[in-house]
Amino acid sequence: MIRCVLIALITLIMFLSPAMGQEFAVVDVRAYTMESEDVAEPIDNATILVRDGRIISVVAAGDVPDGVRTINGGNSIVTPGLFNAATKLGLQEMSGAPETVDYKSADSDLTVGFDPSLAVNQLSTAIVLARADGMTNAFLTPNAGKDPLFGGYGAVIRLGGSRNIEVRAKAGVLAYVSGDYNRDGFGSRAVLWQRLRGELTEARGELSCNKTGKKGDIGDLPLGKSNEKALELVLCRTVPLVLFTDRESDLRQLIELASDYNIRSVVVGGAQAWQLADKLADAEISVIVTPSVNIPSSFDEIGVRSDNISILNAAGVDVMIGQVAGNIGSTYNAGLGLRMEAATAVVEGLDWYEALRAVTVVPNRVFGSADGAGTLVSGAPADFVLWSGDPFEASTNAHAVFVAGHEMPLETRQDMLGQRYMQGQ
Amino acid sequence: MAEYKIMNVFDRTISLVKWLAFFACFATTGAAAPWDDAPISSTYRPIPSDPIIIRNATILDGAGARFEGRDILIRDGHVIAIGNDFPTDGVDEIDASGLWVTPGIIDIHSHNGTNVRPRTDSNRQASDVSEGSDVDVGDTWIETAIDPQDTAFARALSRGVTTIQVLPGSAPIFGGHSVIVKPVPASTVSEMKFPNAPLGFKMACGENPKWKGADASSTKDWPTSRAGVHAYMRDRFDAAREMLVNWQATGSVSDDAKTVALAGVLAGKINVHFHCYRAFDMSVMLNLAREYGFQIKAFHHATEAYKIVDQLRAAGTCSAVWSDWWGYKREAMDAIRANAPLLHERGGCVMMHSDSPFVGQYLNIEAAKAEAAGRRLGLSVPEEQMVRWITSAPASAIGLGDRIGTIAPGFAADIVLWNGNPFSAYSRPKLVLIDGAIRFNADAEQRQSDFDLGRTPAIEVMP
Repeated sequence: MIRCVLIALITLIMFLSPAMGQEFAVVDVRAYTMESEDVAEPIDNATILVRDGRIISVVAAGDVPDGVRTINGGNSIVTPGLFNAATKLGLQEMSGAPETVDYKSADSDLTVGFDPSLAVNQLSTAIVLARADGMTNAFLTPNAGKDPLFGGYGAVIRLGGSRNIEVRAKAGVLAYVSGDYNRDGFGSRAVLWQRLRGELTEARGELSCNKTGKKGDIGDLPLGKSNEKALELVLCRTVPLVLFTDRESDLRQLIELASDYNIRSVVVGGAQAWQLADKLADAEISVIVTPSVNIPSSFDEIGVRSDNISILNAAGVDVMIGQVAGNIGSTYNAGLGLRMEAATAVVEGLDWYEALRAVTVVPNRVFGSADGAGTLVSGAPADFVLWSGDPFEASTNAHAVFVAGHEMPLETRQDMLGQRYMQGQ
Repeated sequence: MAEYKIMNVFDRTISLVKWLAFFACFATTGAAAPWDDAPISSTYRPIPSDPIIIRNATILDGAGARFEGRDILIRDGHVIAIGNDFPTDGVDEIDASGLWVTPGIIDIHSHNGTNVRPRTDSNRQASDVSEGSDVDVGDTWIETAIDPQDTAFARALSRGVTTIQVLPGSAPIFGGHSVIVKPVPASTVSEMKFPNAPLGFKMACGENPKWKGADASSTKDWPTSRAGVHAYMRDRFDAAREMLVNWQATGSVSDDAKTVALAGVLAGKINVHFHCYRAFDMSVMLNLAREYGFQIKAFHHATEAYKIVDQLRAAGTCSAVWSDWWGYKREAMDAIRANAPLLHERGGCVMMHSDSPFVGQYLNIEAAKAEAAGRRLGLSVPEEQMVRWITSAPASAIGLGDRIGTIAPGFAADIVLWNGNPFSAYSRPKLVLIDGAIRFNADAEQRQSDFDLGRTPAIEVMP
């Protein structure tokens, strides 16, 4: 226990030291820069040059400037760090222990304005594990709490940088429409649609988004005002409305609502989305799916199929992968679960490179990360992974994980336990 | 106090020896034992099939061997031989060049057919996973609750699973009888039930079985703590032993079916599958089993098995584990992905299990993930060994190790042809045979379950 605390503290201090002025190179790797939108174009025998936490260049057989520290990649595959588009990492240590769960508001005065980023626990043991599995970013999705309609603000996290977790709060607004979630609260999903429209209409009232599409700063507000503010950010297209929903009728409602209110939106789940692939593409609504789910857990999910993601992708929908249902990729395995989901997507027809895009560049773009995030182009954040093989293979381990140009420690608590008991108790 | 306890154990041992001796005599008479009263009998019949030769595959036999360039001859639902130059008259030939062959996967821990999706409110209020009226529901038989139309069966088959043990849940202390089924299309569980399989029984330790007693709404005198659960178990086993001794002496049988079931456990005629997570919990239950003279076949979940490998090995008790479940409750917090390779390396008996209709489609990948974690610790396990974790090891733990789980002469021809290395996340079964008949063919149109039929439109007809 003391050892764990010490390691956590040392790790923390390490991250707090500035990345400025550091320069190094990784040589002899096969690098997927994600520069191409549609064709895998890895750079073989690549040299990745990193300075001040950013990618300077990725060049085949590139020269390393004198005096720059060099890491030999041993012909590893290198990808940008992976992005899980729907998880509760950092908001939940043990799902069965409410003391460690912070992803929903039970306060009826704080609904859509609930900001779970204030609760992110950067010492969660699940974080080191996710990072050791090659995951460096995620979108956190608060659940609907007292209010069955709204979850509150989603946040983007980065597993490193200035702290063990960097949090970018208020990167989306979560809503939920389904037949069986918290059903006692409303009776019919039609009520939820009427409420959503009603609240958006009210928030639109006197709203004037300024020239940059944003209205004022996001400050500390009384709870009621916080709720209003969240809807304003959606109406001003500052952040997307992220809707957990599965059924075809609800997806149609969303398409209409997004058009009527001119908002950006993202679907999470989307079990029946394959039935509306073209319409979702036309509406520029992106979809986060869990490809391994091929058995409907609720009646809303009837017809759920593992090739949903490839059907949507073929229609031109931006697809991402998260852990929406099932239990293969639960929060405590946010990294490995994500990789296995990507493999399933590929088996079910999604092009391998599209799958890689779905867990790197696409979610970074959808959730408004810094320029270049999820790629290895010049100027991109130096968040990348050296793999022992294909990143989506079960047998592959991450050899090295860099976040903001720092090589991150990969020894997990599980590794320590395993080492302790390897030779007998 | 200590003296009393020593005497007590001594007495117990003496009586144990007495009834064991008696039972040994009785067993030879061949009369039906009182616990042998399953309510549903198997009507499963193999689909008749022509002899088959599977040619030129990479074969992992399930028992630790690997063969390249050999053929498998199958006749009358059984493996006849692995070799070359078999006569081909009247034999269907399958060219498996470039393919891999393993025994059918065995999932030792499933709730398929009882935890049926899609769920409704009524399922939530009155789940069929286990009976909730008592902490001892050892008189229940989960086979009476199986819905054969659960889509999860067909999904499992399509991922190479050919035998499934459905267990009751872990809320009761004594959960009742398991059933072993084949995931084949059926309207009733009897058509799926594995013929002449040994009985299995569920018990639970740790956090789950004390919840019922500790529930604020409970008005029963059920245990509320680990110590209480243990004392309760002793109490029940004392009653079962008394019944067993009486039955041996007089032939009289208790009319309490719960006691009869535990007597079957004490007689060594029912395989015990024990839900436990933590090392200290498992150790306490191993002691209990030693005290009453029965064997625990397998701890299920066993997330801390790696901490007590020697004890488990000495007791001959297996561990049925996941690769990577951990962060959902206190007793799972020390789970490690390398549990399986660590047990394997140190001579323990280990296998993967699912507990989930989703994991139940990826048992091969469960093994692969665990093996990858082992390599982080410097332990590497070759494919021909890993495959035991999903085939011959679970076969033995359900008492069918001489009939399924291995590709060898005389074994049932439950066989999977994979389109690549079975431990690759990109591989899928091409063909799945049960008792020599093709039950899944990836290239054929798949039969929808009754539930799915007529519910989902084809992609091309959507307006």
